[in-house]
Amino acid sequence: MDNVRIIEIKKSVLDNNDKAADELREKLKADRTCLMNLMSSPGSGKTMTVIRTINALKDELKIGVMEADIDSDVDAVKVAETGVKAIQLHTGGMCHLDAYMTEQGLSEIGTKDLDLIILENVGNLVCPAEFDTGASFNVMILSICEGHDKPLKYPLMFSIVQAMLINKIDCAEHFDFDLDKVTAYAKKLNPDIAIFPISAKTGQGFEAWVEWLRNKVADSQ
Amino acid sequence: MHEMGIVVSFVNMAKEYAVKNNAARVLKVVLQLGEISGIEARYLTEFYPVVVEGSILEGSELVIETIPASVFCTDCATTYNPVISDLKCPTCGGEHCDIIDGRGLFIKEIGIEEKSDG
Repeated sequence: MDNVRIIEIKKSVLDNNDKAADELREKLKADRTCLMNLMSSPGSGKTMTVIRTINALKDELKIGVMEADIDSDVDAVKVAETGVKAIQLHTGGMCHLDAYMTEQGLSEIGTKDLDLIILENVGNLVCPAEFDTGASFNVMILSICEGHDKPLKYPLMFSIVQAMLINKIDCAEHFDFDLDKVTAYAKKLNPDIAIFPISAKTGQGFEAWVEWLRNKVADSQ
Repeated sequence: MHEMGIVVSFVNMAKEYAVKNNAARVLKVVLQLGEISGIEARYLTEFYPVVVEGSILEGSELVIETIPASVFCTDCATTYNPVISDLKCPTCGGEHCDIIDGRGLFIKEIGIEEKSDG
């Protein structure tokens, strides 16, 4: 067959997503909206942390929340009770969000009138770390019941976040969680990581975390 | 399960190149998959026929070449394959290293059949 030809491409498959993510970041900057990508395992207390964070900041910032899950809208319904705009994104079986899905969510929630949009990613410490969503910055939650060895098992997640919240510290006495060890493991992977021990249930440690977030939003505006 | 999204990504890229190059159909797609990319070749192969259905890639062959993992030991400056040596440096037994190769996924090339003129 004369008309058969090989076309050399030699391009990274993840390039397209990285490019889309960079464009999204530029657009958010132009709209003076800050997008925080929040990641963690299922059951680490993401939604409760989001709700307490909203309640601490909703009088000074216009906040929106995008809840990403494989199915259901229980999280969006819970968050909407705080009075902020919340939408649910369904990933249709996918384990993470990419920049395209984030962009669809942003066009639904509308970026122009919001100072801070919290993107609650799918509960998973693996795949969400591998795909740039276009967020202004990344934050993760590790709850003490998950163990202090997680930075050793999921190094990528700990190396791409600007802050780590260590949740459920009100239960610390029931677990053998070593805060010094997790701090050392995480700092080895990511020397600039900010670490905040918190309890989304009691509010312990929230002042420092909320202050960090407030400054981060101000910086990006 | 992030392989489905990845298949959609590279199939879209392949489509773009095929259309640009006046392809009537695509005969094969050749990928280069890093040994420590965290992406399973088996799932790429399984999802591929489903994703290409109804497109100019339908019926095409998916070839996956492996890029071996390679890391640089920051303790003794040896370059080694961490998969074969169970993460430890075979020279000094150290576990501190920088990854050189084996994390990525690339489309190497596609084989197309061109539209015949007229």
